[in-house]
Amino acid sequence: MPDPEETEWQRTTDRVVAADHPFAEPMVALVAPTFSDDFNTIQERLIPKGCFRIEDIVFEFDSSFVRPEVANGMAYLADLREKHEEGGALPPLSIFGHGDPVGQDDYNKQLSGRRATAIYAMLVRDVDLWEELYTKPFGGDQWGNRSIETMMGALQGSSDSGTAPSPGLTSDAVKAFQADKGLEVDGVVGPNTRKALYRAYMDLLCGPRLELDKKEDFLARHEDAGGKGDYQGCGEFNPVRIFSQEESARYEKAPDKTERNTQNEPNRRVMILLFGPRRRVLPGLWPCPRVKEGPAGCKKRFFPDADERRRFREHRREFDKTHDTFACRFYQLLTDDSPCERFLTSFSVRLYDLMGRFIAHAPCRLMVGHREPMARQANEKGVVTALDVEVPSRCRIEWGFKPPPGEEPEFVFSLDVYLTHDNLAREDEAKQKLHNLGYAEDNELKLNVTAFQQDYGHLASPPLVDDGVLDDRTMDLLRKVYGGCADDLRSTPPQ
Amino acid sequence: MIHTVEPGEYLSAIARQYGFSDYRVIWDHPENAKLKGQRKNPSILYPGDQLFIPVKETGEEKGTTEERHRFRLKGNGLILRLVVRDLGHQPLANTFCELHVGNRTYDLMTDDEGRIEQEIPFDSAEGLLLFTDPLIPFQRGIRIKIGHLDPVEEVSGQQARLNNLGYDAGPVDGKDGEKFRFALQEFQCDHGLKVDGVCDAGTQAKLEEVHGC
Repeated sequence: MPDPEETEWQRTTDRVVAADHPFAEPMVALVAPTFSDDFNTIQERLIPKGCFRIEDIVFEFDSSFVRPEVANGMAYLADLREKHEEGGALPPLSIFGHGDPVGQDDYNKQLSGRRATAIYAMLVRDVDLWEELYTKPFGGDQWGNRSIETMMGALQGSSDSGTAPSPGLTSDAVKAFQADKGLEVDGVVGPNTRKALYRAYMDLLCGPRLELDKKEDFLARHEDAGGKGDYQGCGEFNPVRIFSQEESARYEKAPDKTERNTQNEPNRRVMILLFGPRRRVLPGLWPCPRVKEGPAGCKKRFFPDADERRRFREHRREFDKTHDTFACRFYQLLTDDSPCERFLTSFSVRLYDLMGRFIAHAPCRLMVGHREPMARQANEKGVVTALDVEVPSRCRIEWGFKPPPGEEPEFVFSLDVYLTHDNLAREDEAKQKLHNLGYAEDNELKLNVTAFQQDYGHLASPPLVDDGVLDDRTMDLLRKVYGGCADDLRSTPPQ
Repeated sequence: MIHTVEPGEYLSAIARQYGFSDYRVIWDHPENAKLKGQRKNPSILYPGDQLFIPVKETGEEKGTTEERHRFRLKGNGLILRLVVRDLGHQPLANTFCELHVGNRTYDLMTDDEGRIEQEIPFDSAEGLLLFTDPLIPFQRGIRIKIGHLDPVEEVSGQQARLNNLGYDAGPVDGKDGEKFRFALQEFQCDHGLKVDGVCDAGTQAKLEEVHGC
């Protein structure tokens, strides 16, 4: 249970981010008295108390189907709700789905809306909404058999019944499920079986702490059948990252879109905002259109300079630095200082000695940003992990060898490390990875690239030429060496 | 003599300060005709405004407190009137609250339209509006600064009204900053005006109308 007194509370996994919003100053009203019939209107401001971000990786690619791995992060949403309880009432939610700028406005609005719908339905156990998503595919969003297999597999994996049921979608497995749920046992996954499957799967992902009520737990209190005010799709209108012109052009040319999709990943998030307990909005006055409607309603709320905001410009832009990547003013006003719209994550480092061998159980000290130093000990593979780290930031790591029993550790090595989200502009990524590998930060990039090619180039086949050019093969090897966590940096081929 | 208006000052308080029991002696004076035409509302003045204070005629002294009480019509007292609305723009109707002004406490209840009105001392300044029931969906207490609302023609007056109406115009500092412009755009969008973040006469009129003064 989180401590209600703990301000600036944040929790992350690689799938979710949960955080308090910064404390909002209480309202002060400047009013005029009168001798006639003037009055002063005082209205409360719509201010989120907290936020919960669900990363793209939780969904199948280009799909609204929710993967089972989200389960281990959902507890943080339950924690966050309870933390903001007031007088027995929990904070109502509103869900915002987001897409990346690839594709048309309309398509992205629909897909992001489907994702918001999927999360909403999961929280309130609305199996009919999921059945609608299943039976009405949209573009690349086709749940299909794969979703059924995934759900069955997740349920079987979690069941601790002694009998080992046949895995996957075999007729036997389906029959076993149907029997268990009191359905007609025919081995065929029809609508009734599917709905029972959804329900069991939703329970598995959310747990009993997150069984929400449509009226009590959402901001518009389910006053609108289309979910207006409770959940909505923002399409591509509020990305946290917008490529530079150069990047955009490069991705356009590349036949393989993998890197583009990876770089766009932070944009494809679902954001849940938590509001003050007992607060409610009227759907009629809520600016966002329904999930099934087109983007015209969104565009009414755009900044006057929305086109300029959405454009690819000379440099890559990210919301937490430039605050100018959102087109929707209403959404920006809600999330301008939201920790969930910053890059916040956990990181792991592997600690090596001068010979390039990892140090098991290395004692170390981490100083992340302005935080207090954290004493840690690496595991048997020399890996140490820090959670709840704001990214990008700098971290100073000091480490040494495991001391004899009873003795204090001596931190003989130290390094200033850059912590970044995995998806940086290429040159920046190279600079930081090279630095973290031990190449001097002060050197020109070309010098470090050359040194890297000389040191590691033999690991590629054919070996790299040490020309200092950051081509695709060099970049590839750099990522492998850096991320491969090789036992011995210099001689083991990276996995 | 000339009195220069300070922040938080409004006519009845100034009149009181100079010993006038009726603010109209000052407000209706020909020397103040220009200011009256400009400001219109004697309770909404702007710091720096120049107010002509006439010499108090000795006859005025006779209007002692008893006489004032005897002849006071219902409309002569200074009134604080607030309309309280929740997040959903709905009036916080029929809700108990406490209005603290100076060292007095008034137990009130909002009407069907979320309105409370209370006669207050002529020179009231700070106050507090408290919703005593913890189950009410509203901020528990709101500090109110009586007489600090500037005219709607001034940026500070626009900021204050936007903040009162639930927009986030930032601090009331008279500066045309980004938060203020975004709040204006939201207001304009909500009320069918041209969305440009510029508080022209039309937007000012709407702001005054929606806010109430």
